Amino acid sequence: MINIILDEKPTSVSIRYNGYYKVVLLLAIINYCAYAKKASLDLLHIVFWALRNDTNYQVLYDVAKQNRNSLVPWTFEHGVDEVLAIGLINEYIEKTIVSDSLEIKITTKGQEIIKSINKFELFQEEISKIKSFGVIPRTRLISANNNWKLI
Amino acid sequence: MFKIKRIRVEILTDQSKGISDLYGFDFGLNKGLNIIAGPNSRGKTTVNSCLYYALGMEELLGAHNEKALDKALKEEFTILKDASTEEENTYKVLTSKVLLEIENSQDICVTLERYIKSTNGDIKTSNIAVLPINIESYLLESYDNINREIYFVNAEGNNENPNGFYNWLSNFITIEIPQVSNNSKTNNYSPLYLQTVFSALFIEQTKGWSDFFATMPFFGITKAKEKIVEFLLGLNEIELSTQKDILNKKKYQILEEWKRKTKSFSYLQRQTNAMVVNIPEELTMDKSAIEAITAVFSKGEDEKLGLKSYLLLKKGALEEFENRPISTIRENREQTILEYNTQKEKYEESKAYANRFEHKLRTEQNQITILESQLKTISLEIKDHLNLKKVFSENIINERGTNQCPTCTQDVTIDLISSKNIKIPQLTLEENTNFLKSQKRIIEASLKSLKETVKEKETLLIYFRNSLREKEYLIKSLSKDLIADDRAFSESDVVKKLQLEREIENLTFLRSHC
Repeated sequence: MINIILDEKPTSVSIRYNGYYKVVLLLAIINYCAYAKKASLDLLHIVFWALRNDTNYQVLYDVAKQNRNSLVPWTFEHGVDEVLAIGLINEYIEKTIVSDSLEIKITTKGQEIIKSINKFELFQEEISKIKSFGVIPRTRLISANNNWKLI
Repeated sequence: MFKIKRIRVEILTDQSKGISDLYGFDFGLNKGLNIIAGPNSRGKTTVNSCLYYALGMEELLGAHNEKALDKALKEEFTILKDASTEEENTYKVLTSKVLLEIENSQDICVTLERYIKSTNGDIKTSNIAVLPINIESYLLESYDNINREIYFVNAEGNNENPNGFYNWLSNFITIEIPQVSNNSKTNNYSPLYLQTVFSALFIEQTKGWSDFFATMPFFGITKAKEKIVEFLLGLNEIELSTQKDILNKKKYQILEEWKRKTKSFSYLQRQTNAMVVNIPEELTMDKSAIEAITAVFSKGEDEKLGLKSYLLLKKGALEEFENRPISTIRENREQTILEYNTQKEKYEESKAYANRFEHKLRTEQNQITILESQLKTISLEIKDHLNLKKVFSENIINERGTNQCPTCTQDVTIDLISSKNIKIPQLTLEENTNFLKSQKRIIEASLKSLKETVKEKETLLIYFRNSLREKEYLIKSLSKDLIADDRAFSESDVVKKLQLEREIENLTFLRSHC
């Protein structure tokens, strides 16, 4: 008998599937884009979506800067649940209820991380993109989300 | 050569009564065989790993800095309080360090001091301090009175830099590290890194069963295992094989260049309507074979002429044109019809070739765009990988931090691609960075050669278009001749004459550059 052993070979996977990478981005999003450092889940998903490519980025940038009041069809970000779980366990973020809806607030520990990331000038490309959106008001996001256009 | 004389580990715990109330171990080692024996889980491996750690060789244990060591040395350990009740006392580690006394062949004795855990931010676990005294005197002296030379372990240049620990160690143990061929280096050479040499002296208890040198880190050294055996046995071969590796690399470059050059002959043929003959099938240094490469030009169906005779022939034809008066259309009618048909056929053929050529060129230009965007993506990925590594190394986020739900104690994964049912094995951050770097090198290399060929082909395309235009002129003048008054002068003769002049000019240029 020939004994066949199937061996698993590790593959190269993009950093976009690494939980810690996304935790850093998540903290940056809450820190720079959320009003009073509290972000709704919509905001988190949409900013992650905008970071995927330049076209998406331009759409959200225009919404943030009031150059357009509509969104194109967008999708939820994969793995945000796990990223939130890591953030909550490590106390980088906490859950809070703002006018009946769940929002995610960055903790002092989370803000310390963003400070260190900036101190060492890490992930500057992504962070400068996130910063460029500025705080996106909740109402503006909701109204744009109710108004989808194809382009 | 060097002797390891004594190893001492000092651990200060939260239950220590003062700074001299230390835990750890202290063993003297004798010349020759030393055996450390004991029941399971009593720290035999810890003694061994501390030894490697003090020598800066923890990479062989599979990690950098204190990460390679057991948690008893850096976090906490337990001591059985009462054997009958199995009651245990837990001690939290505040600071810990390892001291290793070594002596070289000139009887110079030093102590290596390396921290495993430190509360002082200035003391880094990636540095080793060399103390010019033995452990005995170390224990008698006050800490601040001891002279320390600090060397770094885990950073670029640790083998070459004067402040690199391996550089100091190889000098101390008086071994001369040879230069060997290295694929990861642009200048082809790197030292035979000391970590790779030490892997020959260490048989790890799990990996060691499968292979000698199983713990050897990867540094891009060509045939590293062979090189180490050759080095340790003092064989002359190491120099020769290194040279051989470099020459092999050069050989492939020359072969590639040769293939490219011989391929470009086919374009030359198109440009001049010539045929390049006698191209040797393989790369040769035979001067006569290279000199035999020549271009021949067709005259009629079978007859082939060399450049010189072909040029003479063309010059003769031009002279003939110049000496006779411009003929009228009537004189040339039959010939014009024939010529018109032949030229049209030739034109169609060349046009089809040029179209195919242009199509291929466009595909290659597209490929450049695709490769450039891939290069951009890969460079970004590498940058982010390095950033994340820095996040861990600077301890901004603890890589081995909490990832367990405090309520239900369920594990929370950081791997976002695998699911509960499907686990996708992935390369580690370090491995993936190296993988991406090699991918980047491949893309850069193909992009470079692709750009070169596209540039050459663009020039050729311009030539093809020009030559098509010339043929168009000739066909146009021939067709004008066919419909014009028979008594008029033949326009095609004038065009032919002009084109003949240009061809001679081109051939003369070619000849002067042969």
